[in-house]
Amino acid sequence: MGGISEEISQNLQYMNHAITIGPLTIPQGVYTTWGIMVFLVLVSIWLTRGMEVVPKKKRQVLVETGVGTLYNMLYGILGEHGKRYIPYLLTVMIYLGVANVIGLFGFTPPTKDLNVTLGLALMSIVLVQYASIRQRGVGGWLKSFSQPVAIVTPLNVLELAIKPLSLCMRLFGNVLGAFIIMELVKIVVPVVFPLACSMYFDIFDGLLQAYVFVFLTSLYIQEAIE
Amino acid sequence: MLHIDMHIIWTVVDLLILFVLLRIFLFKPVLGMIEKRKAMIQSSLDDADKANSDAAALKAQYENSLKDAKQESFQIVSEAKDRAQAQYNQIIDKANADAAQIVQQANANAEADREKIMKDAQSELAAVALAAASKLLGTTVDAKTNQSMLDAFLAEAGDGK
Amino acid sequence: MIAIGAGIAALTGAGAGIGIGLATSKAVEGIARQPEASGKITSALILGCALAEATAIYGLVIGLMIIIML
Repeated sequence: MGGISEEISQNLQYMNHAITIGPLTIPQGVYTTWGIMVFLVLVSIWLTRGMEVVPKKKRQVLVETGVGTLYNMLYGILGEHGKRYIPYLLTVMIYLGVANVIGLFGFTPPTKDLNVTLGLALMSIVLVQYASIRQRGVGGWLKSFSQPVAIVTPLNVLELAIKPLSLCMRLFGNVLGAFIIMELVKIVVPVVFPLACSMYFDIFDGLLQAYVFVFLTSLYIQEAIE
Repeated sequence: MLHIDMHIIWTVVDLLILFVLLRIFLFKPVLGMIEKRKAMIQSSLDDADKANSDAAALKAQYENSLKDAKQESFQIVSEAKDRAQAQYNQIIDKANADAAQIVQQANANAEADREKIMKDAQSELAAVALAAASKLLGTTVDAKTNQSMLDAFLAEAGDGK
Repeated sequence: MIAIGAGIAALTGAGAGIGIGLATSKAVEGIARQPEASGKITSALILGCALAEATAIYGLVIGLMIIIML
């Protein structure tokens, strides 16, 4: 058992597959993120080439259906007031979706790195507080901590820290747990079973977690906008 | 494994850059296309509504003018009938008047003719009577006595008629 | 000791199991009552499961960390 635990902890080592470019050492999560960014930009350029009002090609219909469905889903939660926040949330959803599924293709998902998830969670919380400030002004934002009753103020302030933590750990935990279990399974039955498991873990679980992350963020935003 | 350090900044910066890039390349075209299509559909719906309402107004207008035209036509026909009737009456009256006048004229002519014939007959009768009287008397009668005898005789004959 | 700690940490799965089981039973009841709403009920169920699973995952991560790091 010691051998397996060392193997796994070796794999989990943070700076395991880092690349060194001159004085900068870039950890794996970051350069995988760069790869995903480039991939997404290229795909979106290819998909939106030659769009017309009355679509002729299938890929325009595909793109419009995809983006439209996600947009409507978020619009149903956020409503008219929150329309300006939807593009950012769509970006996060697409990025997370791709990032979680990329385990299927042999890369290691960038969300395995705690920094990535923490960064995402911190940005979400900053966005929620920004939305609240924009809607109510700074005074209103400070006052909103003592609603509905003044006693719950410490809880509200604590929630300011707990919400991002829970978002981050949920995502990180899911991806990490999936990764470790995949490693264990690969050690035990390296033939076909990993593929089947990967179907569930990577695709279903990954997409679900991406959706849940964005859904919770949008829920917080809607709560802040009221 | 649970190593937190400054690489968070990398991720945050990456994500912001990705947001800007995707917004330019993916969201603006796709969402803009959806909006444009919605606007086009809306404007074509509006045009269809406007065309409908225009057609309805035009139809109402046509029906109105059709009604007016029908009324006018009735009026024209009745006027024409009245006029025709009046003219007919007028002609009949004129014909009647003419006929009466002709009859009257004919009567007057007949009367004048009768008078003339009687006068002629009277003179003829006078001549015959004279001849007969002269035959009876055997002598030629004096012209003046003849004339007075003749006139008395004629007055009786004329009265006897 | 490490093993006992990891074992206790893994007990958090029990809470998640019970919670998700109850949620699924209510969801199945709802679908049985009104089959037309089955789409909405299913998506609400999936969402609820994902959120409830989070606490179980916290336990898993802590167990792993205990084993690997201590």
